[in-house]
Amino acid sequence: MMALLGFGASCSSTRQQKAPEQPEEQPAVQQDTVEMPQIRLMYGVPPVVFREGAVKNSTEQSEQAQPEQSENPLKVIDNE
Amino acid sequence: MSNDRNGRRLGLRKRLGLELFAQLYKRNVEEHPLRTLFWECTLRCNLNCRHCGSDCRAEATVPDMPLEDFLRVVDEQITPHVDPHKVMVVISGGEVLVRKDLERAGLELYRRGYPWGIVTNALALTPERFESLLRAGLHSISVSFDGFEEQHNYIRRNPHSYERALAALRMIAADGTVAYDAVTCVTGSLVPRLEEMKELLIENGIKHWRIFTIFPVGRAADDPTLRLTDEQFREVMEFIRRTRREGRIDLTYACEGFLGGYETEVRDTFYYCSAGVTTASIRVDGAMSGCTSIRSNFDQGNIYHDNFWEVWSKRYEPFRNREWARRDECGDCKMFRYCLGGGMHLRDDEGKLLMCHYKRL
Repeated sequence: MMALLGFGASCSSTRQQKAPEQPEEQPAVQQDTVEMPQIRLMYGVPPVVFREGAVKNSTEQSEQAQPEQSENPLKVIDNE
Repeated sequence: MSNDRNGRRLGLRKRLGLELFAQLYKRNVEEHPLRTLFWECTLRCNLNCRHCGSDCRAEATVPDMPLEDFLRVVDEQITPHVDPHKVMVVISGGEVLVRKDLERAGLELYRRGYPWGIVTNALALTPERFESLLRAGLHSISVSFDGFEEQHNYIRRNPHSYERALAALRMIAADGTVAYDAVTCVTGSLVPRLEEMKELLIENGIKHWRIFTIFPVGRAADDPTLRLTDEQFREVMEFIRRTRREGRIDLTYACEGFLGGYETEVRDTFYYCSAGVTTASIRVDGAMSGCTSIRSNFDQGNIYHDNFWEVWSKRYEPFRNREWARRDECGDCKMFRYCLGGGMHLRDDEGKLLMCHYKRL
């Protein structure tokens, strides 16, 4: 009905509605796709679909803690 | 006033669409599936923005939440009840890049199957740091970008903020592996230059842009230079509508409020506030709410005292039944059936509406 009116039925209830029965062998996770955001929250991020293999290169490297960031490396405040 | 409030007018087709959407939303409320989880991991920040909704400071008085505390809740109280692939974890602050264990946090979430993203001012987003975040499974990133150099640095109160944010956006867009957008807080001085700003973004290869306008919370409440007149607000709506029709850049207005005749023309869908319906947040002190912009009087529990899932399942009544908002100017408003009193972040400590977007049109 929404589509007939020319609107995307894109509230998350419809996006998340159960899909028709699918064969069991079909992978549950859609890979390497980025779902276009339906609505972006005030300070949120564009919602996406989980991507297997999203971890780039060696994961070991990222497990190393980052060097302590200077809390305020460039901070200049114009206290007017 | 230059127009006759045409922006409020709703045609029959949109009214029908809104009626249908209201039914879908109602079903969503009944099911309240968790889809977005904010984790406010720190209130420390390397900037001191004039419009900050968090009102955070370089030396936050509240300590960062230890990663282990957050993961304990994720593992024991959330993961058993959800499909992690369907819950987006948004790590926010403060400024998330000041946390040295951000990559570890991201990787732990990724290993559990959660897509995760960050909101950042990008001041500290060097190519090395970006690469490191990608290696930890970063899926999505939003960069605050508030206009041209003068405006951006004025708002951000840092002379290097603009160049860093633009460089970061260029880098992210060129990389192309994560979802991203530039997020712009439109102030009065930027309104006449929005076309120019659009060209700047397009020239730099940035394809996704989100605009929001100041709402009177946090520091923004005290700074009149940041606000828009009603006329300017309508100009912003016209600009977004025009740009979306043009199709050269994906531009959207944030989830701030109901927009009458502009509904579905400045956003991808009809307005709704997902706070407490599909969106939850865990703030730095453990408080649970809908989204991190909402005032603390709407807190529903605290992870240090309550079970997250119990709270999510059984509380959140003010978020899911908004009849309480049918008061004051919303009391007899015919649009209430569609907007349900606007975004939860626009309600003050007493629940009064701070600003109605619809009435500005």
